[in-house]
Amino acid sequence: MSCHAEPPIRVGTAPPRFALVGSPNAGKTTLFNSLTGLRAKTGNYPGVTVARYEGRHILDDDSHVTIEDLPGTYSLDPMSPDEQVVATVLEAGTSGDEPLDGLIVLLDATNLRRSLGLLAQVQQLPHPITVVLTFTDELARRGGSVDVLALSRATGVRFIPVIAGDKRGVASLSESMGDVASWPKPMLPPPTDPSGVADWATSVLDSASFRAPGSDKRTSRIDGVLLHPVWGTVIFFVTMMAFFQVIFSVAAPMQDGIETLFAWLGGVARANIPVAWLSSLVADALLAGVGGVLVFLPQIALLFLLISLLEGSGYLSRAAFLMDRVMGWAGLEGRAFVALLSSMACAIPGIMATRTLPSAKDRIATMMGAPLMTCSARLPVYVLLIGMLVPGDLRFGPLGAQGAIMFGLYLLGAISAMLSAWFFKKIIGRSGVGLPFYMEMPSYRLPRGRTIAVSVWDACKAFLKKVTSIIMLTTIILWGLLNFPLRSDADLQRAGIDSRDEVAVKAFVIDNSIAAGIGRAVSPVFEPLGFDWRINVGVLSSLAAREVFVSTLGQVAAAEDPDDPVAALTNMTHTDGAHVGEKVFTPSTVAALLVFFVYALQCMSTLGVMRRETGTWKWPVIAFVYMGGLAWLMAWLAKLVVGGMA
Amino acid sequence: MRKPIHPEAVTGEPQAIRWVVDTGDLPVGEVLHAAGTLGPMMEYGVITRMFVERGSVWTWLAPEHTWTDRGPRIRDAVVAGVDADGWDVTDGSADLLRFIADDVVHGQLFTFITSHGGQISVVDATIDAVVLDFGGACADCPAQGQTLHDRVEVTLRARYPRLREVSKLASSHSAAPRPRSPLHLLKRT
Amino acid sequence: MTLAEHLGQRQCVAAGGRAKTCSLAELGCDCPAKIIGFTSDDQISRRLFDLGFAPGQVAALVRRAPMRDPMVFNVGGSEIVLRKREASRIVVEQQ
Repeated sequence: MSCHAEPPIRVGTAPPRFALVGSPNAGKTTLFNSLTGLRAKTGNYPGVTVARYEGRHILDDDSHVTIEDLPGTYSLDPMSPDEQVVATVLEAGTSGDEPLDGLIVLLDATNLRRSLGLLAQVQQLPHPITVVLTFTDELARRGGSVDVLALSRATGVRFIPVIAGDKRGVASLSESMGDVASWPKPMLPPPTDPSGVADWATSVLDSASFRAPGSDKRTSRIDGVLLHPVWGTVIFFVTMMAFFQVIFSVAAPMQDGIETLFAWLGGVARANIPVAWLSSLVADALLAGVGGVLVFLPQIALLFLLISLLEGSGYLSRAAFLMDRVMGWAGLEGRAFVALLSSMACAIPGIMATRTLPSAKDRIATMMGAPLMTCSARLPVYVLLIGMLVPGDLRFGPLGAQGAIMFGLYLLGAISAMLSAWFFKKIIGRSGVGLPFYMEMPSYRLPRGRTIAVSVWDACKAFLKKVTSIIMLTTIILWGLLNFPLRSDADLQRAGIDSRDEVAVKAFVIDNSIAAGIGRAVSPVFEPLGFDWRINVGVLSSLAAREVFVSTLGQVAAAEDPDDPVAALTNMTHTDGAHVGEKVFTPSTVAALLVFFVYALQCMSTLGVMRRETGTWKWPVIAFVYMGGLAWLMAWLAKLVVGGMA
Repeated sequence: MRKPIHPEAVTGEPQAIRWVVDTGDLPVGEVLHAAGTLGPMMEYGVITRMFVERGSVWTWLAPEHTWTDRGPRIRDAVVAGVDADGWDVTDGSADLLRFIADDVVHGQLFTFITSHGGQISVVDATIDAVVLDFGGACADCPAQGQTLHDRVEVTLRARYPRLREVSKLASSHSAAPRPRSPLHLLKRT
Repeated sequence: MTLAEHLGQRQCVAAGGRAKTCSLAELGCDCPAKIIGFTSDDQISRRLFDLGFAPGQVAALVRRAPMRDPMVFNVGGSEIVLRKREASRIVVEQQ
């Protein structure tokens, strides 16, 4: 057995490496942040959808140590990919080919008996161990007590009590990391069989005069309200609505601000760069690209702020508890609710929020469903199309028809998301035993400002690093497709276009661009849906971001009637193909287009984030393909149904 | 059969383990013959020395063995043995009292003693008495000294009932420096 | 054998027939009940053990979700949410 093995010998001059081991909710993330601050980097463990956090800590003598925050685990008897990673890393004694010099085990003092079980397992390994005992303040508050020194003697390893916010404990830990050789070891490792470890824990707790804490009165009282069958559910829905509203009322203005800023910068570029195509490149591609990236930041930052607050305070697990039954219908669990809810603002933070799900299968299934939730980028498209389809004063009984259809689209998105998640949950992986659902409900705690700040910063940084390149590339490519081949003044004259009429020039360029060529080329595919090549160009351009569809179509329509683009769109007729002369935007076509937008994954940024979170291109590609196919099918069905009704 | 039990190290004795377990009404002293499977372990020289105190069994392993190898078996044997008949234990032991006194002063009551400004070390032990050197602040302060003295005596007697007296060394500083317990590394900051 | 494999061989006590026992899921009230064992010996039972639902420990129902499932239990100083499916694996004896 591994307890006879020696820890790997360190060669070379790499800094000492420590791993943090502990159950979720034991305070690992808080400690990791205290030790590494913003000097942490994230990635993925190879081959799995498990995030990896590694950071640098600076000791008193200014030397560095590396600290790895292993995923939270209740046991080294792994059940999920996250726990498998922990078991593998600890068994190998190395991580990323670097040997582990010591293990820092975090144990929660308020459930010490259970925590000792994990310690007993970790003590089977040959590495030096130090224990950080957390929440001793809460233990005392709840009427419990323990003799920490006696705990150290009884277990043979040093216990360092660390209270969040109090620097002394962390200083002690830091000091001990400088001298691993002095870490005490037990005479022999404790037993791991259930009755043996129970006896060992009882004996240890007894000799440490452990008095178990009473229930947390404060938490019980708050839960009495927040988890009340009636009031609790009401408060929950109100909180979720508020959560959602904040996005629109706070993030939206910031986003508008960013868009305005970049539009202004674009104007400046156009005005000051003499070469036409270059100014277009800078304004429409580069600036628009950067602007297109930054515009997501307020949403991501805000959503992560809110999610961190919910998680840090403990309310997230209450929300998951209330929603678990409903999520269960899709084969998911309660915690998936927050990820899906976030996706109603934007799928990007929603996909990033799947990190709270312990099961990798759940994470992927949720990620496959999240883009189907109606995100805010679809709204401009919906507004435009519904406006064309339905007169503003039409009513279905007491409800306005336009609003009702909008709501219907939201509902369609939500139900599709759940069905999709259910489907993927079913087909992913070959493991027979599904992960049973269990979740700890921590006491209500005041979230630490630093943890929240780090979480928000981490999310934004990760988004910027990985996704920027994808968005920039897509924007530039699409710009190229829509603006090439370049037209000289001679070309314009030959076509009868006044080169001073910017709108007409623009329309001419688009009409004859590579994108238009592609649009015409793919029209057989979209013809059954009633799309003409101009709609195809719009759909193609919306691959960068959905709202671009509106502006692209707007440009096309403005070319035909600069004063009333909407009327132009309404009256637009097919220029070629089987339906020459007929209106493009018939009710059935508009319905098809709407439904197409419900399902198609047109957001490259979403694909980029999926790539980042899963560590592979496989899942984004699957998502793109399946949603594209589904979009076509559902759009065609919509055309049939609405066409039949008309 | 199951009983709560855990092993603790003995300072300065790398081959020794003190098994903290409920010893029931076993006599306190040096073990001449142990019950159950512990008996043969002693006979064959795997265990070279054994003591029983109130609430622990002290065992010394022969130098050619390691605790990682032998520990689990010995643990099971202790658990079974403490409830069995067939123990032959001396009525008290000066060596045992010495070990217990060291453990009390440098381990169990270490925080208590240092928080009272004290620094106690064990000078000598007989079969029913212990001589301690009360160094540090408590040497001069009669009140502190009395509190410490009483506490140490009560603690010692709970583990070694035959204890008759805990006496103080006459001078305030002992002649030879005592090795400091490595347990001081475990102290809280 | 790796540590994970070794831990995977732990046997969680399958409860034998005893009077006055029921499953944790059937506890109608918030009265404390002592855990006796599990209905089967497999990975899920081991996980429940590692969560703190160990034989000899006392568990109590704290509340149920609005649709009766899942449930919150108090065991070993912490509150754990379990679905009925998992809770019914734990055999308890009411006190």
